[in-house]
Amino acid sequence: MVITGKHILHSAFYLAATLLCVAMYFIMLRAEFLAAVEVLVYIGSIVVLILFALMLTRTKVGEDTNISNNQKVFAALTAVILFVSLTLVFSYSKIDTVAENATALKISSIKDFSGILFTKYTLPFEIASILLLTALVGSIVIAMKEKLQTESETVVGQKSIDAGNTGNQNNENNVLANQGVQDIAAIDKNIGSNLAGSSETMVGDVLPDTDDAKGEGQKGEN
Amino acid sequence: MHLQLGFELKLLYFLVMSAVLLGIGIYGVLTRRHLVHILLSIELILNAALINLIAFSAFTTPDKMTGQMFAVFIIVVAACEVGVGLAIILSVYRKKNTVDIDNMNILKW
Repeated sequence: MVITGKHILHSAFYLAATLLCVAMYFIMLRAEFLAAVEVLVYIGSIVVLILFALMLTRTKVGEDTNISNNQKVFAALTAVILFVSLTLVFSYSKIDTVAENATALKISSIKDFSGILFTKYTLPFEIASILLLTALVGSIVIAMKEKLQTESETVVGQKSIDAGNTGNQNNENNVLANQGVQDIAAIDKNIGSNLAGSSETMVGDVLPDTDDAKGEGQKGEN
Repeated sequence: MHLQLGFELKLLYFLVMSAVLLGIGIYGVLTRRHLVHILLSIELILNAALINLIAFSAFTTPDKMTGQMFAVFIIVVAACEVGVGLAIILSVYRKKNTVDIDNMNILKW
């Protein structure tokens, strides 16, 4: 249902349910810490982040009739062939006999986990933290640059409107951009006056309207 | 491994489950047109890999927990990937006013 849902918000929620089931699998496999991490990181942050991005890019959040392209048959064929071949390989190789040789499954405590993580795997841990920092800075830079660019574009659009240059294609975009600039100005005033008040206006601005969504999206980067 | 569930859990069950998730995710990546939808499908594929790693870790080397360590790092990388991917989607949306992947052909020769 994650991939067949017509409503993309619904499919994000289905993804959360699927991830919860995966966390149940982890508990079954005696990896309680990873189950907690799965719930916290995936459901708590990734799905919420995706929902947030969907709110920012509200093009057509509603029912989308044409959600898939014309590769459906080949994609289904690929997926089914992959699944069948993997299952055959798994069932014909004597995996479970290997597993039976292992010692009885012991409950992995967080103490053992952290002991191994901070002694044997210290360097990967640090590299992972650096990777997180890099991704954080990188995503901010990607979003910020576009914001500056769109601001300059809106200024150009304003000038062109002032000059009376109303092209067919650019006219609607310019009007939209002007309203976005006005939204930003209003929101900046609100932020200057009162932070709590600005959050209230932020909630009020999330009305299903493309202009408001645009202003909201640009404001989110401030 | 014998759990108190009334039946015996086998490694094969977990592997088949992860293969199912992988197939669903690949189908989603190949067919959807919305960029965020594709990101969701990639999350499914990553979770299939996670189940595989943790199942092998739990059934073969439960003392060393190597698979669990790898799973932690995979979760970190997945979080980074989603953050950067959503930033790219936002910037693409601002530039082209759409998130339809069929419209993104500026790299096409």
